[in-house]
Amino acid sequence: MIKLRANKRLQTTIRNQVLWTRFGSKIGRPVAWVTSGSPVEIVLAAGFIPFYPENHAAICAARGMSQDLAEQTEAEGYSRDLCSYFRVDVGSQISGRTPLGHLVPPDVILVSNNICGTVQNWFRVTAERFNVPLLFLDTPFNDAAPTEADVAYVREQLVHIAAEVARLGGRRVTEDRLSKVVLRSRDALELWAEVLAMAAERPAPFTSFDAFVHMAPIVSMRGTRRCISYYRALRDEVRERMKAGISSVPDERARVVWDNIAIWPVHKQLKKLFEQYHVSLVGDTYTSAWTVEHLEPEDPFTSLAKVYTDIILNHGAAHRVKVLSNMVRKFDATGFVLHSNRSCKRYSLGQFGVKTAVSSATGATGVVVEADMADPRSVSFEHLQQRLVPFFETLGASG
Amino acid sequence: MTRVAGLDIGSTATKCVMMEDGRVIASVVVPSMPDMRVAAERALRECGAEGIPVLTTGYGRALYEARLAQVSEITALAAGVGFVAPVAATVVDIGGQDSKVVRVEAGKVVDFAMNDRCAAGTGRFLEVMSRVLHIPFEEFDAVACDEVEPLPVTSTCTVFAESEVVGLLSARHPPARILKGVLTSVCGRVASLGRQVGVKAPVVATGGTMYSQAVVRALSNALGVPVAVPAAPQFVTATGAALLCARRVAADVAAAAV
Repeated sequence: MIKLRANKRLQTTIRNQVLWTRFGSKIGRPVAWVTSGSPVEIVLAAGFIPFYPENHAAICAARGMSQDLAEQTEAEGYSRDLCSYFRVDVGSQISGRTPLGHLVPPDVILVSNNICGTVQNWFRVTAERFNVPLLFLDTPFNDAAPTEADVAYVREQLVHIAAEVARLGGRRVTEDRLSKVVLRSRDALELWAEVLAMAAERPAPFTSFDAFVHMAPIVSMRGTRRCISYYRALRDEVRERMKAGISSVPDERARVVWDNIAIWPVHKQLKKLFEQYHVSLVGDTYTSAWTVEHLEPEDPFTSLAKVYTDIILNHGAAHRVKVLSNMVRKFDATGFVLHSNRSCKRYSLGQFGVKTAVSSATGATGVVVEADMADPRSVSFEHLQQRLVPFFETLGASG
Repeated sequence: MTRVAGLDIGSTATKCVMMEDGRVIASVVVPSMPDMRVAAERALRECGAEGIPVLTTGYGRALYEARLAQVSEITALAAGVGFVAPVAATVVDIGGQDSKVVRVEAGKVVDFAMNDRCAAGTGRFLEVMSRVLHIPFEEFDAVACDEVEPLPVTSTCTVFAESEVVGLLSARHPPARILKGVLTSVCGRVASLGRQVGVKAPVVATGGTMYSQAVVRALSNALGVPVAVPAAPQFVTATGAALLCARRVAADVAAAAV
């Protein structure tokens, strides 16, 4: 198993990003806390430094801090049935504990309900705690694709949000400034898409276990030049591996795709289990959510309105069947894993139906595993193994 | 003359099956607890299978270190059913720690669903209820017979169902009707598991619980299709492991010849 050189680079990049956020806020740059599906390009164009609480919660979970932080939030009376990212992030706000040293408080919060309804309440609570304005972007749920009326409705809000962030301490967001940021976002998204697409090669030079980790900059740094140079280097390295025939798992015997967020508390153990059975996790619906097409710098407000309304979680199960089936075909997989994520109802709803539909559309075998993205109390590695091992054996892989 | 063994180290019982030239020549079952490793060695010894290639399966499969290989019990079960009931399209197994429904084709897994996170719908549920009702498993058939009308017992949680049964007993309901309710509850839960993968006839049921005709009848009712039980339902998984062991040995021999 040859490790990616980019792993080191990722650490440096994230550390620099944390330092930049801290430094920037000290020299008077305003800070915006945003959801992963927020049109961050607008706050960037206004000169804000963005911070991603969801990303922060994932880092806490991967570092083994999530249970402790979640319990802080539960002690304030919040139910354990609520989203674990919410509980972890708020627990960090309450206790002040974070793997990032300390949190830089927001000057403004930007939320969109395109990923779920939970973030609306999560950030209302957060806005009250820090006593800062909350900007909210409402995106209509899609039956098929966003209609013209949907796009017009969302565009109008974006223009309003741009004016608000300028009023709340930022620069004026001109179309020109916004276009530049959108272009930088697009370049990074394209490079990321290129990286992910290379997993279609046999053997796969890069897997979703790598993607789950290397997605951090595309989530939290898109729209910046550093993000582009990060993915250019990653793309070049993965391309090198592909040309040299270097496989991410030793002696690849089966290829599988994944639905839903990673299981951070057992991420490394799970990666090892896949390697032990020589199974490549070649694609997933989660990290590929940041490979949107049609991000155009020409009419940035309209383009952003389309893209941020059209994301996978803002669609029903039929769309997920389509995305997953295409992925099975594109990556030449014979199986797929559906992570029924206790913390993400929006992502997990209808998975048994999705499983049947994807199987009959592609002939691939599916398995549903129950876990949680961040709360180790709802994750049993034994259970995951009980489901995955017979699934791997069915695909002809053995340990 | 090649002898091989399949060792199914389950949560309740450890089963060993020895095969020679495609025939089962010996089988043994011993309790797994308190020490699964000791149980594994004892089962092999009592089966006369010491010193021959062994393939392990079941929850404790990694505990026997001298194994040739290990596979999950789903794969072993499918292989075993392919041998004892080749026509089967669906297998329902109610084990001590989990229950599973496996769609099979020619001894291979097509799809499966498992309940391994909750004791309701497993043999453990029956064990608990047997203790509360003071009816040993061996007497289930005599008590929960056809004439008895079941009382409703929920299947959400073993602990809750246990207090429910205690309540029914204290309300002086006949234990036979409660037991029948318990069986209906377990099998109803397994049937809903089956709907995840689709229950296709012919259906075969395996696991130690199938020694009770009352359980088999309740399962048939819940699934809405007749359920066939092989002669030794507790040994099907171990038999599958022995078959896979023989195949592995043959492949190794062939590879060595090349």
